[in-house]
Amino acid sequence: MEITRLLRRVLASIWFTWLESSNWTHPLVYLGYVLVRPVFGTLIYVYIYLAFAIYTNAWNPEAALYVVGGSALYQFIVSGMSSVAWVVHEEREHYETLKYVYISHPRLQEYLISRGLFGYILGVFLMVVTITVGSILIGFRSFSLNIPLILIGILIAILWSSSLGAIASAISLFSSEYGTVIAISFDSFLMIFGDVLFPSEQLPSWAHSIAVGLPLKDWMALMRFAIFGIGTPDFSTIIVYQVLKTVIIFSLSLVIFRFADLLIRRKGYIDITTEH
Amino acid sequence: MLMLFLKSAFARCYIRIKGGNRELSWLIFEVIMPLLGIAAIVYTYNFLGAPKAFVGFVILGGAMFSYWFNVLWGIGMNFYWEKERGNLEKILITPSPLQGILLGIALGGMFNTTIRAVTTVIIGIVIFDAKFNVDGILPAMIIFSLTIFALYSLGMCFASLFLKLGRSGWRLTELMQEPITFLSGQYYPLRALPAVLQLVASLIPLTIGIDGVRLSLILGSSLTDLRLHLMLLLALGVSTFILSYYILRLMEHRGKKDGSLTMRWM
Repeated sequence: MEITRLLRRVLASIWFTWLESSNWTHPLVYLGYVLVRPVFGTLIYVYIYLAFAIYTNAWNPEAALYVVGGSALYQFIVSGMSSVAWVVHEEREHYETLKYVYISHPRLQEYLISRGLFGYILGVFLMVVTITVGSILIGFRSFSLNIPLILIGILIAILWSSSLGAIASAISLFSSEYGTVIAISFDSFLMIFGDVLFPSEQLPSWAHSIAVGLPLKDWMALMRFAIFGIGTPDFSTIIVYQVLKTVIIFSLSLVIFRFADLLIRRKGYIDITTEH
Repeated sequence: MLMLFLKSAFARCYIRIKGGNRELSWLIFEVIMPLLGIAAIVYTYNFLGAPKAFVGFVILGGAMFSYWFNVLWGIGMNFYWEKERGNLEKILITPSPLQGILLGIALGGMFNTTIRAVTTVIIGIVIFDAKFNVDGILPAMIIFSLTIFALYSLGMCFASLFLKLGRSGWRLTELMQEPITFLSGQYYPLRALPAVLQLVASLIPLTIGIDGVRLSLILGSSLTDLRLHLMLLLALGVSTFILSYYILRLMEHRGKKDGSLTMRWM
């Protein structure tokens, strides 16, 4: 019974997110709108590689696949995580509806994560499109799709990245002014430390240690192997690490969110707006 | 009338500068955020094994691109935000001309973004050891000034358009980030693009500006070498500046006619 009600709430949140993000236009125009940014994002990375190759006359297809593939995989994480992280800012500052959600939904964190699920559905689609576009442009054809591994990777990533999104939301509950900055900071942080465009071994050693602690580095290795056949990672160890890191991040998000929830109620920040 | 125009511009410019810099943490975030993007691309070029000159390309491109963000979100979306907050109706009933207010927003935005862009370049030079040609500073400054004039004139056109377009304008603003990043050659030399795309890209002031500043500061081009850049930027700047005046009048008139000027969340 409780599960049925939970599923109904989750489905309603996904449907609501779809309506809120797309009701300004026709669904086909919306489809074009969501595709433009990731596709051009992929083109940017393809041309970064081409600029390097043309000017130095040193072609390195493996590196091109690393950069372009990484940026496509990152689309999935960012699409989902941002969907969670932006809700507080948008619903409190812009639509001024957070207080109504707060008094009508049993758990705010559950609501935020449910809202993010639409971003993950969209993210899978964006990931597929950008991988296809990127692969065509750099001339990569030999995919070695390991579907079970891809599905495991997607499922685990939804858990840890939406937990990270919930942490970002918990922090932004305290600040109306920095809501957007907090959400963007999490994306940028993962971009630098997550083996997205370059291996984190390129970073200074202290920064590399941060990268090792984050789940994105392992996840990228797992997905690069599962989709492109790059590298020979010990994927059973990676999955164990992914599960461990997910449990830690999820537990942290529960604690941080609970603490934030108590504090903002006490301080009366639920409906604070700063007109930014 | 001219005095009122200038006073309105000055007053709005003052608010923007004061508001944009009153909070030190804002300034820090607005410098760090573009730096993270720049750092990601610099490390990517390192990973690919690119020559050191690419670092300078990326830093200059990243710093100049912050003006585009300011033009889109700070200038283009301004009247829309004012409408959303319920301020636009108050602005409209004052004797201040909208054009003066828009000019003030643009000048304030230029000032604020310049502080952030210069800081980004300085930190970028220190961290990534980028090298620039000192003799190219004067031509770069001239190209840069014309680019800013053309960009902010374009931003004033956007402000009127987005006021009318409402939420669709907001989406359009989002859509003008990655495609313009791609076409402007923010992270790579423009010559890497196919000729047709270079032609399309040359209609965007930012593209010409980034290319001109890079040519002077990295490759040592003189003003004579950059005369085509100068002419294009001047032509784009003057035409969009004049256009912005008429578009604003048109959109204000239309908005009053169909009653959409103060309609929120649409």
